[in-house]
Amino acid sequence: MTYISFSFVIFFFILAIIYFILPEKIRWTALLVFSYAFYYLACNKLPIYMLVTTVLTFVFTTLMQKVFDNSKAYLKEHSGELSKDEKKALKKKAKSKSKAIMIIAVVLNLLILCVFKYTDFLVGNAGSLLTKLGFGIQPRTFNLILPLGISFYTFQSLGYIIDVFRQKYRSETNFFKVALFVSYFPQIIEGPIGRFDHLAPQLFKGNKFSFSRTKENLFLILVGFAKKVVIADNLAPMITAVVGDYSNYQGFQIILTCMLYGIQLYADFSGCMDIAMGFSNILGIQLSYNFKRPYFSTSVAEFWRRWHISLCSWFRDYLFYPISFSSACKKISKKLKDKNRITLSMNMPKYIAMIVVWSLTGLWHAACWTEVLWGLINGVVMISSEQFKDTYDKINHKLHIKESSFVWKLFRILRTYVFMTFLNFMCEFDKLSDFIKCTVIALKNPLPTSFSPSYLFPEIVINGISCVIVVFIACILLLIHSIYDENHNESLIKKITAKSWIMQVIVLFLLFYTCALFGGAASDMTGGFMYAQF
Amino acid sequence: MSVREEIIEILNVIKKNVDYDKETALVDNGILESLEIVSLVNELSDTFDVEITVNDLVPENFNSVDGMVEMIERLED
Repeated sequence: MTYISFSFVIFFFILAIIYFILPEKIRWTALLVFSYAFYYLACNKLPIYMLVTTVLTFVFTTLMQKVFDNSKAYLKEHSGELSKDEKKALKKKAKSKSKAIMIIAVVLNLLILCVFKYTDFLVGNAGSLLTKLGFGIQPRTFNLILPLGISFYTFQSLGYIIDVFRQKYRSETNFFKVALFVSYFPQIIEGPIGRFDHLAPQLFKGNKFSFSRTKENLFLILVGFAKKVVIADNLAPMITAVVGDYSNYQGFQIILTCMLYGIQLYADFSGCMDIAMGFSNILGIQLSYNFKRPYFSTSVAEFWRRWHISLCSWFRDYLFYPISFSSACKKISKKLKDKNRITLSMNMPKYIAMIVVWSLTGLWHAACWTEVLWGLINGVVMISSEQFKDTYDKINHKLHIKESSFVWKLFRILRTYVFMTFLNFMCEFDKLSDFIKCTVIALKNPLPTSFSPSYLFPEIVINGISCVIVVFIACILLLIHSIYDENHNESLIKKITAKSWIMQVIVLFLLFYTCALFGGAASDMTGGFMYAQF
Repeated sequence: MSVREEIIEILNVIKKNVDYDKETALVDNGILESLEIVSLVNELSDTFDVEITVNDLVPENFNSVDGMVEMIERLED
């Protein structure tokens, strides 16, 4: 069962009835039961590993809280007898004790993730290395099946553990509430990676039913469905075919496929987010925003502030900042300062942190070197734009480029789209060598030799020329929707739901009709969501 | 030089062409992004000999020069 199924609609309908019938105080229990049921129904497996992560998270955060509470109680009891230095020493002792607990909790949780996600990658690389060193060892592959949502719920749990260590809030004392936080079903497939202080009050409060909220989110869900089944699923066969058999396609076809891949990836991922947010909002629980119209970004750095926001902010708060402020980075910075390299001394801590963070962001997506390279390229591009900011400004000034002009902004937006899509396209290939060969074919023969639909849109046109037209119209509508949201403070959906009943019914009907008529056949081919594999 | 003046001097090295005297939403308006925050925190820690931790990285502390002055005075205590 995925979000795109009739069984899920029935599942959610039953949950919503039970949720709003139950007394407010215990409504969260329905969410917990249904979250575990959803997990089982989505992958036909019991959520054993998620339960282990939950137990580890609960036990270790409780222990950390106990250390802090005991230390505070002792300090309070003996406040008159202790000197300032003794108090400081006691606080430091409690901090290092809880740090040890936090490290164990993080390592154990990461270990579960690593075993499932990186065993074959590590064993394979170790085997290759040993072979190169002259040991004739054939590495064994384990082909472990990745538990559903493991990358998302593990990171969500780690965030909670680190926040308790940082004493951002107290640990939750009810195990089942922690279990709900880890397993909440709308975010288990593709995130967003939630934060406890944002999610917990909404999850446990017991929300009231709201008709206008339900109506508004019904639109959001249908927009998400349309993005997924009309755009992403209809583009998928063309992209799969070209990537899998690129030597049989011409350069222009490859270039067009690559550019359409950017639309497919966005429609798939943001469509899933719209659906997840819509269902969750009906229950009165607002998830974190994961997208803010990323393809309007004028730079790679801005793109990553708008794309997969919850993952990027997770890496920023739990890895980028700690590395940047680490004593090792400070020492390097100081050495550079002593050598009078002032600008570099200021920038070096963040450059080191960026390289680490982006390599790991690549690995988070998948266990392969192409992903690491993808992450490193992202990091290097951002570092170079930061390091050479003044040089770029000088060049723009010399060329009389007016930075605030529409044309320049449009150029930067298109440049960022082409770069990010090309980079993301690389990860679609199993081997980097295939991606390079494919790029060479594309660059050798970049001009179109025909303008027939079967040449421009191979595989899509099999479903009929009407399918190509519908996808095209859907993309235009998505662009209009995005431009409207970018330029207004309220969403276009809000504007539509404020219109007359007839208008609302027409839009709902059109959305539903288009999804049903033009999405069904293709969605069977692609199955679930692209980011669910992470 | 006062704490306020020193902070403005650091800010001007990190990002030019901003009216730091008047601006009250440096983080909320995206003038200071995470990359600038890192440089700023490291410089403030060095200059005023205070330990700014990840917990202090909340918009209220960095939205204005006044917020930064308050944070530094609090950390110095």
